[in-house]
Amino acid sequence: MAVAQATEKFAPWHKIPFFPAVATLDGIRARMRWNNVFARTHDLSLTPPSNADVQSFRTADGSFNDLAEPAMGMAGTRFGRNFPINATFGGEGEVLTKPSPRVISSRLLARKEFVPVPHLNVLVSGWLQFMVHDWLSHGASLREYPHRIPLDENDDWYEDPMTILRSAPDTVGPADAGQPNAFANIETHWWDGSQIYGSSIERQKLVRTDPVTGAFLTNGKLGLSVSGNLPIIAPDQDIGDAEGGRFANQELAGVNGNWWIGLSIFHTIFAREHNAIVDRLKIDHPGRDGEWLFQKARLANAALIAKIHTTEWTPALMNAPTGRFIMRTNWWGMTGEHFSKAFGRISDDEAISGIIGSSTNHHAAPFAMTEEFAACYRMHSLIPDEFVFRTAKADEVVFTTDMLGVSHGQTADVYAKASFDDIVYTLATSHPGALVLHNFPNTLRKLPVNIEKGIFSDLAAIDILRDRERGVPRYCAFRQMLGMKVPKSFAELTDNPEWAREVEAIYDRVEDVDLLVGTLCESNGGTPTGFGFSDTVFRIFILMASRRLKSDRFYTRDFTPEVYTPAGFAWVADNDLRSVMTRHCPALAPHFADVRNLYFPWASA
Amino acid sequence: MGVGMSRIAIPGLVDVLPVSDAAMIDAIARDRRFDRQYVPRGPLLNRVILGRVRRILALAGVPLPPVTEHGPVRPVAAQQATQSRLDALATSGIAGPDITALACFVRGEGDAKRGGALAQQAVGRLFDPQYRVDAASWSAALVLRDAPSSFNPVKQIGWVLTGRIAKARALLADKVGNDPTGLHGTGVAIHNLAEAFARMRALYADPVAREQDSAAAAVAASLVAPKQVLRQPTCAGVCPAGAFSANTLVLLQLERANARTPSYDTVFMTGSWSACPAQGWVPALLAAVWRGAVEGAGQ
Repeated sequence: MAVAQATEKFAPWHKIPFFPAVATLDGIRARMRWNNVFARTHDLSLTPPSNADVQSFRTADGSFNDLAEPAMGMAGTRFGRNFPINATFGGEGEVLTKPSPRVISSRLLARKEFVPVPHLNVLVSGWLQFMVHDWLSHGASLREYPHRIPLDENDDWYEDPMTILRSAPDTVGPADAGQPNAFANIETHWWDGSQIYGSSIERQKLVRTDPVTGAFLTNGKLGLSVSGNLPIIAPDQDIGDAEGGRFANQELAGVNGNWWIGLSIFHTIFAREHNAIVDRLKIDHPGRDGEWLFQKARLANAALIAKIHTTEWTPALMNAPTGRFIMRTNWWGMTGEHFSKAFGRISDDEAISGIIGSSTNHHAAPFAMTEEFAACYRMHSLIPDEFVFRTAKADEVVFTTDMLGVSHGQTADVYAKASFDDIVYTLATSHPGALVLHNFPNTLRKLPVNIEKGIFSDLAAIDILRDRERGVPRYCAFRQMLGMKVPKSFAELTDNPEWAREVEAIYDRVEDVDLLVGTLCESNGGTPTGFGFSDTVFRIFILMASRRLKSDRFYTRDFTPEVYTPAGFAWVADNDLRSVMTRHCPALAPHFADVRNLYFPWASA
Repeated sequence: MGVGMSRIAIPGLVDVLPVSDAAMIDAIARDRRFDRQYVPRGPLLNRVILGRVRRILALAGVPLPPVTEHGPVRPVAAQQATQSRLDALATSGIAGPDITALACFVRGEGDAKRGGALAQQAVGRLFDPQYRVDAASWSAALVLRDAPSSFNPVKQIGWVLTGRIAKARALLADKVGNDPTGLHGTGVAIHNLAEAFARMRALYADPVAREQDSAAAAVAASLVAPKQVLRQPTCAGVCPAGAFSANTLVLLQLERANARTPSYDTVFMTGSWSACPAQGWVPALLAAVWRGAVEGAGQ
């Protein structure tokens, strides 16, 4: 921590050499673990379910991960915060609407011309959402008393004022007197694959149902269609996920919100992966029943997903030696992957042998996803507006469509027109959008909510409003509370003078600049070389990426062959996204054979 | 995960158990093994502290309500009656010239040290509508603030020789009709409120906070908990903060706990037998002053 404090006075970590930079980042994380996690807890007393082994299985709702505090991280518990609770009061009155989120959407965020990230592919975007759906959802908004945002004269939005539904705060109890609104996470907070398996036992049973017979699968597998795709079931059979029902013709998953083809392929691949793990476990444990196989396969599948995110996805977005090193260290420690595989852990110290398998530690507060983390993962700009589907064999165009054409129930049309491999190939050879100003997908800025009634929503405006409503500090305050240098003027916000002028034309003071706008501005001058996101959000990521692992009993104390089974444990160690893709899309192997990271663009046919 | 401090026990000299974790404080506050009988026992410093509290924070030999033991000396019914009266005032809307004066203070008008006196007048008028603050009453409050905790021998000797503590207590008590709750409110608890208004004034001076903070946010940022309150165990035992003997003095460090885990439960010890009866009125007062400051800007 002392190194971090000393070096940061002179330059940010990404402007100093490798070894001091690594030491600085380690110090920053250590400081944040004690200073930047705060809980908004409930009083929930739970008794262990009589029919489940909470010691060695994950529960459907995430309870009993921490055996001493069983409600920690379960579905329905509150988001935590990264800043002192008193600094997280949501805005009221004009503070919510001035400057207008719609004006910010139109003049600062709207995509003028697609700005791609040349070194990444669109699998990055799909994976990101795949992960977010595992970690968090605020659930349905309130229908009563929507926010009303007056429009500018020349705005052609379909209604004036623009209405945006309010976030639904959690029920207030006596202990909440004088505290800001708290919001509940309707998914489990844990990194437990709940986007695949659901966050309730009812949802879990549904994804474990055979779509052909309608019967519960007693072999421990997830329900897939005959072609190996996610099932499409009749709306009257769907109980809906925590956010509500699915769109017609949309595939079934543990979490179905904001569905699009990028999400669909990862859900499909990892449902297949689950079933592959079940097959493997059954070889060693022929006498075990389907429930046991399901639970053990879930453990391994979730851990593999966490590993891919930690050691592949994040290093792709942090494509610099320091970024790659610290993320891989999270998993394997400084001894590295090969040493770890050969000799296992040699120390409980996470710096030496990684967080995985070390002792569990929540540090300053019980584990929970945080509102600030959710805010930092507002990365809609990663999504392109146009999709050109091509064959993997010859790179011939099959069809072209827009974002709406690959969303919700339209994914069924995509699968009808292109093969699964062609879809994966297309996404893997296309570029995502850059996280910069003027690059928010315009489709998402006029997203149909109800086409028959002509109701739309502007996700860019909603992103701005949500942060204000939920008390996420503005950009300058956010940086100040992270111990970072705070811009004193609009010119210090970005190296792009035109952007600085544009932002200044909307905000009265630099201190008023919203977090999202500030972080998108930061790409000019404040983004570490090779990074796909700003240094500001990176600080939250480095804290929470470690915390997701370090707090989870199944990634720390109970990440053992005894709990995972030797075969399950080896499955996590031996696999990565490359082997997963090779298993489920073998014909695509030539396209990614020479790619260092599968989130980099694959070779075109 | 919480921040507790280990017990400090030097035989014959001191035996204290400081607790600064909100959850532990809550648990101890509800634990009937910890009371405020303040029997002079234990090591030297413990006896000194307990003796001072009993001598200074008393009116006509009767301990002031916030330092009385649980039970017949201060029946729960009396505490609830006070709270009901203050809650009614809070819900009926807090306004008037005292609020206007405090709002002006928060806006930065006048002497920065004047906030305490203005707050004292606002609190005093809960007990006497004609209460008027003056230099003597504020000075008396400062004496009652410092006397129980000061280890400055010069001050202590001065107070003994001049009888200043008794005079200060008598003056403040007289201004509130000898109401012990009023004496504590205007002489002891008032310093937390004074500090709250000082914080609010600093908050208001920040243009970003002035424009963006709601009244609830301003109240939360300004609210000050008592620095620490004392509990004396009735027996030896073990609590979440550690082991204790009957001679241990437990220091519930409310302000430290509140800084880490802000909660009315900590500031006002809500839900415990020793809850502050002003738990509804104080936030309402602060909110009214903040709104008055914001709405009165530019007038």
